Amino acid sequence: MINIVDLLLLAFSALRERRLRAALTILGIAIGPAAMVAIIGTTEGYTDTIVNQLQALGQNTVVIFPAKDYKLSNNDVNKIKKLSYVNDITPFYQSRGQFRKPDGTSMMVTIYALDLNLLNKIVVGSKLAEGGIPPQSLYTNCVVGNDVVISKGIKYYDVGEAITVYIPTMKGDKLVISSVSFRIAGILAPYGTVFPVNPDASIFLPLQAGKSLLNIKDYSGIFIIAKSAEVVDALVNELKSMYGDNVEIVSLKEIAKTVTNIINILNNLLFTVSSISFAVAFTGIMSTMFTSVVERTREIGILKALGYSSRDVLMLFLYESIVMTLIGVIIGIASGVVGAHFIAYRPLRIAGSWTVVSEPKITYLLILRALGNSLMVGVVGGLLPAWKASKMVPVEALRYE
Amino acid sequence: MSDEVIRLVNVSKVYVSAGGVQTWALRNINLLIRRGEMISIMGPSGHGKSTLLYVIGTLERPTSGKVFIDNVDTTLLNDEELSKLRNSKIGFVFQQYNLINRMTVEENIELPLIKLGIPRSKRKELVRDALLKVGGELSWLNKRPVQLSGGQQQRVAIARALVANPPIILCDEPTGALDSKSSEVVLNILKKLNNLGHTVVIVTHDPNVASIARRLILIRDGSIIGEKFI
Repeated sequence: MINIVDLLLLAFSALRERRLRAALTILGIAIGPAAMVAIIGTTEGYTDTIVNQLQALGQNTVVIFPAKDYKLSNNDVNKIKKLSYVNDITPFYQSRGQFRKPDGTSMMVTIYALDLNLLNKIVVGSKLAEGGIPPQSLYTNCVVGNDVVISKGIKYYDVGEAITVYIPTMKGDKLVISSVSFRIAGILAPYGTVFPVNPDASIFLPLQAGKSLLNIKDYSGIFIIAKSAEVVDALVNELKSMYGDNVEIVSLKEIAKTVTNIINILNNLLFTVSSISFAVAFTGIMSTMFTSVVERTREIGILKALGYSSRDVLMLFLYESIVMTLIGVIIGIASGVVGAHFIAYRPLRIAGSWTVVSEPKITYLLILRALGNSLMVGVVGGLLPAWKASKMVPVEALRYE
Repeated sequence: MSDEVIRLVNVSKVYVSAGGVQTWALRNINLLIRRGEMISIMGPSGHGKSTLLYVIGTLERPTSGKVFIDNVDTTLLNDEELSKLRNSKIGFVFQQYNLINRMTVEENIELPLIKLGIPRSKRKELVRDALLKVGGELSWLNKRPVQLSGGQQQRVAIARALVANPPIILCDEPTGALDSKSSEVVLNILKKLNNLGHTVVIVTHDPNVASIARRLILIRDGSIIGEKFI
């Protein structure tokens, strides 16, 4: 019985002889695990980040927006408040504006006017870094996201100072840019971009400011906080039966579920695409090993004459393909990890301003999957040529020119 | 230990071509070779000498008949058992040396020992002993076969054949590719091995080579047509 170390040494010796061909085959093998680790690692990293962000926003929150010509009013707020699943509720006004910082840069901000006492229930986990929540009556006072006052590490505004935002509004059929000034009452701690809101680039005002300062007549929507995440589906069903097509209902729980499903489908698709490179590696290994078997026919005859059995010959050739595969897998996985970090280095930009920055998720399972697939390719791809080698008749092999 | 080391009983070998044409390479061969004998099998090219050697060496299975090596009926053995038998009991020396050119001389000689599962350190020692026994030089060990002359390569091939100390050494035209001086060296080595107790069977068409053996088997059209004791 030949021991494994000797088999490996014999395999290395044979591969050393055909360095270039072996190197090219190894390169072909490396592409599969590299693609798999880079692509799946990156998308799984994004998936985790997106889903975590969505979950951080609170799985209890449901938002309704008016659809068609329907206008949301206090009647709606009161009706919804009475539903058994509802814990808290606030209508809100929403607008977008441009804000110019003292350093000359400008940024788009989203302005919400809502019941500020519910801010940390709507933006779950948000904390005030400075100042406080202004009372509802002081509707020119606001709470601002961290990016509004800080730019590139420099803080431009403090609590008590005023900021001016330029808001486009329609006056008749004309678009007018009006400037609105607010006094900063509180500054939120950095939160991070979260779909569908970006609290860091938002300004939160008391509800009354929506009509008085932003000149919006009707509510832009209603934030509803359900009693628990478990009753969200029932609440959504109730809202659907109340409003039919008159409102759009957005449940963060549903968004998280949908996003997860989409990303899972995407992952499967990417897995299939990366599997194609395994098919290429399979043909590469097979053709390399078949060529090797033909070229070494006489050697096979010699080995058999020296007492090597068909099984020994099979193992010798199989070890060659396994050695090439293992080297290819190591190179592939290492390149995949580097590649995943390279891809994830640039933030993923979705829907304009929403960017996701994520670390790739390289799990042991992913590495095992890449290793398993490659080894399967290596073994199966090498098996047929090895079997052909093992079945050679020694005398015919010895006479091969 | 029995005196008999190789015995062929009614051995025939028939090749059938793809078109179904039968060619008789060996016909009812009966042959007994005793331990420590040195015999030559002589005959014209294409008359079955090499086939007979390969049948004795279990590289070819006979179409009919029995081949006994050390009283073991090899026709009943499977591939694994035959390989084991070849590895431990038979050493081959070929006309074209059949060394593996990508390997060093040392790696070539140690091949039978790897199969035997002998540890690396012991292998090195046995390889040196075998090479010295055939008059080789230790400086060859790290050379590739192509860096050696034909005669030197054949000596390496003989070293490989005897490194596992098999009782039988089968030689197929061992001097066929050598000049007369190298041939003489190789034949002297074979004689020396025989003196050391190895049973040596030489297949040749050259009467000068055949004459080094005490026993000569003549073969024609796959049949033994005569036997001489010199």
